[in-house]
Amino acid sequence: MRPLPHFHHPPDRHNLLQRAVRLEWFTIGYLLTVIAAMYVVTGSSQAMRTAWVEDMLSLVPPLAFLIATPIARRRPNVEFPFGYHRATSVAFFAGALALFSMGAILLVESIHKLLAREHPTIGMFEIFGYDIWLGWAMLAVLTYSCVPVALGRLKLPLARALHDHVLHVDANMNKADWLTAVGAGVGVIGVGLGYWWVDATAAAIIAGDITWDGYRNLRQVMADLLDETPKLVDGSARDSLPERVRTYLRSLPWVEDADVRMRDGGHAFTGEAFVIPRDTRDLVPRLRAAAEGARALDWRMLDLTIMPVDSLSTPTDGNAL
Amino acid sequence: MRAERPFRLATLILLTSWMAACGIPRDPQDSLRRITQTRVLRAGFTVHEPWVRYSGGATPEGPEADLVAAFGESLGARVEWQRGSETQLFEALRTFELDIAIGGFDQDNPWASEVGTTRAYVEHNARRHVIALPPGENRLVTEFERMLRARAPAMAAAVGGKHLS
Repeated sequence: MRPLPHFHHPPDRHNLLQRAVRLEWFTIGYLLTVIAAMYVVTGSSQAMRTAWVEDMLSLVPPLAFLIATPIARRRPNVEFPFGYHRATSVAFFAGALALFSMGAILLVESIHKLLAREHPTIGMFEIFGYDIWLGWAMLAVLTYSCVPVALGRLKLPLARALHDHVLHVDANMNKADWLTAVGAGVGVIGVGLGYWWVDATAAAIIAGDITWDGYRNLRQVMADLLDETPKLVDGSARDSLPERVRTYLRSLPWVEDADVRMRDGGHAFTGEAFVIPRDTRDLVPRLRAAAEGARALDWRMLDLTIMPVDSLSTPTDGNAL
Repeated sequence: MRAERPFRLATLILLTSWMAACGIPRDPQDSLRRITQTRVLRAGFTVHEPWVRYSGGATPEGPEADLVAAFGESLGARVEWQRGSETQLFEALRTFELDIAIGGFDQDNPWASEVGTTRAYVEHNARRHVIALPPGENRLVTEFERMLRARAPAMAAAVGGKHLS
């Protein structure tokens, strides 16, 4: 077995990666304080409980990133010739499944509480020796839980520059955190004003949002595992790299026509290119030079196998008997 | 301790007065207003010594019974006592047919999550005791807790338990 080359971030991206790692550690530390504070004030409010579970689930993407990044950077070897990049996807698949199933459970629970007409009791809370209504403490903690929104804004450009899907999902979840906080806050204020049903309704909406997040992430990570055509990290459009490689190959004087087939292995791309040579003179050195030229196009182009062919069409019914 | 934190104290006073001004939290079923208007506090009890004793007549005795009587008085309401089993009392609270129930209940009571309870106010024989109120009547619960907090040390002393909060 000939393993793939070892993937390195280029020096300028390496600094970005270290920054992302620091940000993720900070995120985890901050989230832990939020989770502890939420636990103290949750009481019997379903909206607070749901927001609390959401804060715990927000730990999943940073953990997936921090655990999988060092694994993904291991050198490909005879046992794992394609390297370890998929570690990120596997970690993330588990996280997305947790998000989806916890969201669904909370959604059912919230709707059940609403139908059972359960009135949430929010009593008193002692702070610095004074008694205040627990609802005010809840609102204070919810405000405190909004800070990761700023972290999300810092992570988003890093996710694009590093072409890192997990980092992108994490940044988006952080950015959406304020919605959860506002939802739970509306639930608490609703209860304070004497509308018991606002709490379970807000909880159902937050739980629906968690479930939807989980569903979207599951879809994305499954698409990654199925080697979907390379997309931008936000999934909005196809990545331009395959087309750029194809254009580059077609611009070579000895190439009549060319096409590519590529996969996004996590951070780096690998794949095959098919070229119709005008003539077969010096074919081997030309192929090697073309592969090196393609790799020089973009830091993510990890390995390209170039195959000389006489037709670019996919063989039909290849193995059918 | 408090003098070192004038800012926090000011914030708390502001917050509390604002809360009082808007009447937050309010009761979804308007319990507290009904009690002060009808001048009747519907209280349930089940015998559980030393918390609630009963020796015939219309009213129970014991520290929890005295507490409910004092609460009724502070609201200008007469206490209308009903005796029942624990299940009957909690069921009545859940359907808003009682305003408060006593019987030495602790916070691990399986019914506690179905109704509104105060914070634990006394620890006695490794059980943390609460008073039960209707679910989600948060104004009633918070008003009652104010009184409970003031009287908890004396009640703990009466039963020989540890005063909490």
